[in-house]
Amino acid sequence: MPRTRAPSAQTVSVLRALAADPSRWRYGYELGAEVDLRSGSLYPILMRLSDRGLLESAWRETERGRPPRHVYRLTAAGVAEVAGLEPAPAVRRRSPAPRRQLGGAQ
Amino acid sequence: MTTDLSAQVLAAAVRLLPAHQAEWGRAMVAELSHLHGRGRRRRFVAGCLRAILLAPQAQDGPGRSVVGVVAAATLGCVGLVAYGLVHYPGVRTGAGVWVAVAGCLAALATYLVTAVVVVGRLTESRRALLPIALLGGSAVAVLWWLVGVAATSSWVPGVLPVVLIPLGALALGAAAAWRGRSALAGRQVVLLAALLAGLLLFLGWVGAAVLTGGQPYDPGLVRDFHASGAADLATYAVDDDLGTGMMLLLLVPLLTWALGSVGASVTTGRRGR
Repeated sequence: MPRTRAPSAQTVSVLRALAADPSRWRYGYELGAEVDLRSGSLYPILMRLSDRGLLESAWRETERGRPPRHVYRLTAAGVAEVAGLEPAPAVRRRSPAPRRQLGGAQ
Repeated sequence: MTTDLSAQVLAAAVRLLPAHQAEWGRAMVAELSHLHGRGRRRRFVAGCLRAILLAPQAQDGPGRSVVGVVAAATLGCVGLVAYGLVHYPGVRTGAGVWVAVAGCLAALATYLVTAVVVVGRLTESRRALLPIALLGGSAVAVLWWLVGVAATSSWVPGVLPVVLIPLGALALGAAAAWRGRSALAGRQVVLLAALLAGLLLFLGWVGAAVLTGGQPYDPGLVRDFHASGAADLATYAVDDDLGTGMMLLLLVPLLTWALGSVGASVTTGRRGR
């Protein structure tokens, strides 16, 4: 029986970032910067999503003299996966820190 | 296209990926070619190296094993240096200690990058020689360790390791060149073995020192300690062993590689006749 493990928080953040505009192809570095993940975390996630059929990739021509760049977007299964995720937690507003009074420490 | 050190390291490292993930390696290389700024490129490559070495792979090979061992040994060496500096604070007050630590860390980083580049550039057939690097590097480290043992105990004749070290390095280069049918293959394997030997010896030498407080103390060390004015014997001994370990970290790979390369060249020269 295949294991159904809950995706990590980092994987979820990548999925959500891709799902924000599912039709748009994304560059790896740009995606990593958006979800605050370095290449060491991002690429294993992209590889796993691709292996699971949730991510499709393509090569996109760029300016002359540079190699084509790998781009990514969710597949239909990937979009469905994101739809099945729990809703993103609402951003909790922090109560403002007490104002420090200059010269207050007597 | 920029072909700086970052690009060269990544180009070599992605060759460690199995065939079914080769496209991801090309993706990393392509992405790097669009990044500017040395720091940003280095951080990107460091992350990719982590992804390549640590990502679970369906296929594993000797290349990843060797790089994995070198990476683990490098991290272990860094950890030991940090532990020594924290656990024996008196070491930190020594003259030039931070310069020595910086040099040591630079050497360790260079060894790791060199191992990644060398393994990445090996052809598939030459990767079959990598077990020779693992075994040879371990054997050379043991021989050097015996030099230290011979200096403090009588059960190892002092002359034995001194004779065996150069012979072992020569034999290692010869064996690798013979199996790989080229001097270049021999030199590549010897280089990896040499790096590994230096790292393993450092791990053993410095590890034993920081865990035992530099014991056993030989009479010469005790005499030098009294003349040094150092605070305590353990700190003095660890400081001494740390310095020796750092020196060996440079000396052992250099000597092993030089002698092993001679062995590789001589073997292929004789074979070609």
